[in-house]
Amino acid sequence: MIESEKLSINVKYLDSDSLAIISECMQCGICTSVCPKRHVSKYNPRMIIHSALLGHALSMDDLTDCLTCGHCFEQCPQLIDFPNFIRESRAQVVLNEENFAHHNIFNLLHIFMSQMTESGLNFSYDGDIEPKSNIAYFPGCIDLFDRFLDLQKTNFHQIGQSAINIMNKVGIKPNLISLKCCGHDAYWTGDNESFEKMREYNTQVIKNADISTLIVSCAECYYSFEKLYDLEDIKIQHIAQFIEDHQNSLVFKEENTTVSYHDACRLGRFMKEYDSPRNVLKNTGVKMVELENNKENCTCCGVSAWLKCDDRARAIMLQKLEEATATDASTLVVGCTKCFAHLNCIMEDREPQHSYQIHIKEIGTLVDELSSKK
Amino acid sequence: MGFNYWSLGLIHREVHEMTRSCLIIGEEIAALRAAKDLASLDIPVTLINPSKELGETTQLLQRGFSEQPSNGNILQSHIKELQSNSNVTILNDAQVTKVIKNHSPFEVEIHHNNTSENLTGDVIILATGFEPFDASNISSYGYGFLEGVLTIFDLEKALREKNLPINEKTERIIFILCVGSRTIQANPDCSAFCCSYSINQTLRIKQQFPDIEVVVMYMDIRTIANQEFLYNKARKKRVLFIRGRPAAIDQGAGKFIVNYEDSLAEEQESLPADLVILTIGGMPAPASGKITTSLGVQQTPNGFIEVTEKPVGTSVPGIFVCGSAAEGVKNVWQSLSEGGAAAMAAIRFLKETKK
Repeated sequence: MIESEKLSINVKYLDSDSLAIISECMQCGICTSVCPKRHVSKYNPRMIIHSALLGHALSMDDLTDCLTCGHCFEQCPQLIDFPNFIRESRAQVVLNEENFAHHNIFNLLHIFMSQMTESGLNFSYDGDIEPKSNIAYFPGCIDLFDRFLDLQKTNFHQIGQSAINIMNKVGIKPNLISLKCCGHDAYWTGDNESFEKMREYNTQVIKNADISTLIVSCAECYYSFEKLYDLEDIKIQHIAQFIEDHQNSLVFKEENTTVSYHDACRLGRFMKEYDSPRNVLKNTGVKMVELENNKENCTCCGVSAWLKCDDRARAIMLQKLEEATATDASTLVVGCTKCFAHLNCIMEDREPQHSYQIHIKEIGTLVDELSSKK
Repeated sequence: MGFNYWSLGLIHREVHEMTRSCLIIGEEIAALRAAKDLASLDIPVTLINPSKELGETTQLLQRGFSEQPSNGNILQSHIKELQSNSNVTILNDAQVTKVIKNHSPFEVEIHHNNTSENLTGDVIILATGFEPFDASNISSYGYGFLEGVLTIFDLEKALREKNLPINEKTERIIFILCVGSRTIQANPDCSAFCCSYSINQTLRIKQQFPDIEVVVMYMDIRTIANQEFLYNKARKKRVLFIRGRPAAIDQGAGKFIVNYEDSLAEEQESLPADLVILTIGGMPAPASGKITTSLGVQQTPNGFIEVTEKPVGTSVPGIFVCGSAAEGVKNVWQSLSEGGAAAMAAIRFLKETKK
C-alpha cells in the first residue's frame, strides 16, 4: 500500500460508511473551485477525496480546515456530501486541541454541558415570560459568548432580549425554555458522544414542555433541531420566519437606511431558507440590497464549530467585509449568532486591516429597533 | 410505435419487383443487422463471412453492454433469425480472392469449401469489423511473456469459462485503459467500446470477489451516453480510478509493479498488482484493407474505410460500409444502427438504379 510518512490519519481506519459518502466522486474539481478555504489557502476537497479513496493518509489540517459550509455540496454533480464526509472522519479521530479557537473553551463547554444534570444555560431577560405558553423561545449559547468572547462593542444578550421584545409586541408571552446547547458544534466536530447526550436531554425537556412551537435566533439551532433531532410535530421556527408570520402585527418607524443580508450556511444552503429574512427586511421599510454573492452562493463567514480561527479564516472574514462595504448598505444583517460573532470579532480586531464602515446586526435585533406594537 | 407499416409495404412492393441481390462481407453485428433488414424485405443476401462462425468479434464485444438484462442476447437473436431466413445465404470461412467487376453490378471471386466461385451483387455492404490491437507491440507491458498480464479479451474468455486466474492470495487487479488507442504509435483514435467494456468487467470481478481491490488507470473515462451508469456503478462499488497512463509493468516479489503518475495528485507512484488487464482497442482488420483496395474504395489515413457520404456511403457508388470498419471501432449499439442504415441506403440505391 502507498505509505506517506508526513501524514497522520490513515484512511484505512475510516469506516466504509464514510468512504461510501465520497466514492462516486468523478474528480471534476468543482468543489475545490467554489471552496472558500481554497480561495485563501491550498485546501483542496477534490484532492482529499482522491487521497481518501486511494487509501492515502489524511492530515489533521485536511479534517479541520473544512468549514462544512456546503458550497461544494451545492455544486457537486454527484451530490457528494463532502461536509458530512469530513464530519464522519472527524468522529473517527481525536482532533488536536490547538485546532480549536479560544483555547478550546467551547469544545470543553460542550463536554461539560453534556455531562451536567441540568441545562447549565441560565437566562435572564426583561419582558413577559409565560412558562405555560405553548410557544417556546430558546436563545442558544449567546450569553456564553458575552462571558467568554472579549468583544467590547458587541452585545450578544441583546439578540435574546430583542426576540422576546418582538414576541411581546405581537402579543405572545413565550416560555423561555431552558435547554442545553443544541449540540451543533459537538456534532460537526465529530464529538458524537456529547452530541447524543445533549440531544437526549433537550428532546426530553422539549417533549415535557408541552409546546407546539420552538423559536430560535440562531441558524445552527434551527438546523440542528430540524435536521438532527426527531421532535415529531413540534414546529421549529427561526426568528426570521416567526417575524414573517407576525409582521402585520407590528408597525415600523420610517428609517432611511440601506441594509444587505448575509445568508448563513445553516439557514441558507442547509435549510434553503432564503426568502423569509428578505421578506422581513423589505417589510420593515429599509432599503435592501444584495451582496455580490448571495443566497446559495453567499460566502461563508470564515469559521465553523470553533475550529481553525487562523489567518486564513480572518482572510475570509475580511473578504466578507469587503463585499459588504462594496454595496450601499451601512448595515450587514445576519441570521446566525455565529456569523454575528465572527464578523463582529473581525470588526473589533485589535490590528484591523482597514476600518470598515459597516455595522453587523442580527435580524431580530434590527426588527426590534425598528418596530413597535400595533 | 414509431414503425410505419404502410411505408414498409410500399418499400416491400418496390424492392420485390427489383429481384436484385446484395453481397455483405463481414461477420460482425453490423453485417448481421444489414442482412436481417434486407432479407426481411425479400432481397436475396449473401453473407460472406471470413471467420469460422458468425459474430466472433461481436461475441467478445457485446458482453460489455449486456448488463441491462432487457437487452438480451442481441447477437444470438440475429444469428438465429438469419439462419432460418430463406433469403439469406451464409458462407462461413469464405474469402474474397479477386474482384472481377468493381462497379455495380459487382462480381467477386470467393474461395469457400476448397472451391472457387463467382458471386454477383447489385450492392455490396462492407462490415469487416476490426482486429484487436496486438498488446505485445508495447513491450514495456510484457504482454505475451508476463503470465498474469492479460488483455480484456483474454479476461473475457476467462470470465466466461469461469477460470479466472484469481486465488485467495490475489489482492489487487489493475486495468490499464487505452492500450494501443489514442496514440500516434498505434491507433490514434479512441476505440469507443473499451471503457464501458472493461468497467463492466471490473463490476463482474467485484461481484465475485468483493474484497479484491480493482484499480482502473485511465486518461479519460469515455463511457458514452447511457453507459455512464457503468462508471457510476463502479465507483459506488469502490472500484478505484487513477488518472495516469502507466509507462511500464515491472516484476516485483511475486507481484507486478505498475509505475505511473497519479496526474490528479501530481505524484509519481508505483502500485503492486497480482493481475494486470490491458484494455486494448481495435485496429483496421487486414482482410478489410485488401478487399477495400481491390474494390477501389477510399481509406482513412489510419486504414479504416472512409465514409465519404455520411452515414454509410463510400467513394464507390453501390458500396456501403457499416460498423467498426467504417472509419473506426464502434460499440455494439452504434454498429447495430449503422447496419440498419446501410440496409436502408442499399435499398435506396437499388430503387434509384432500377432499370
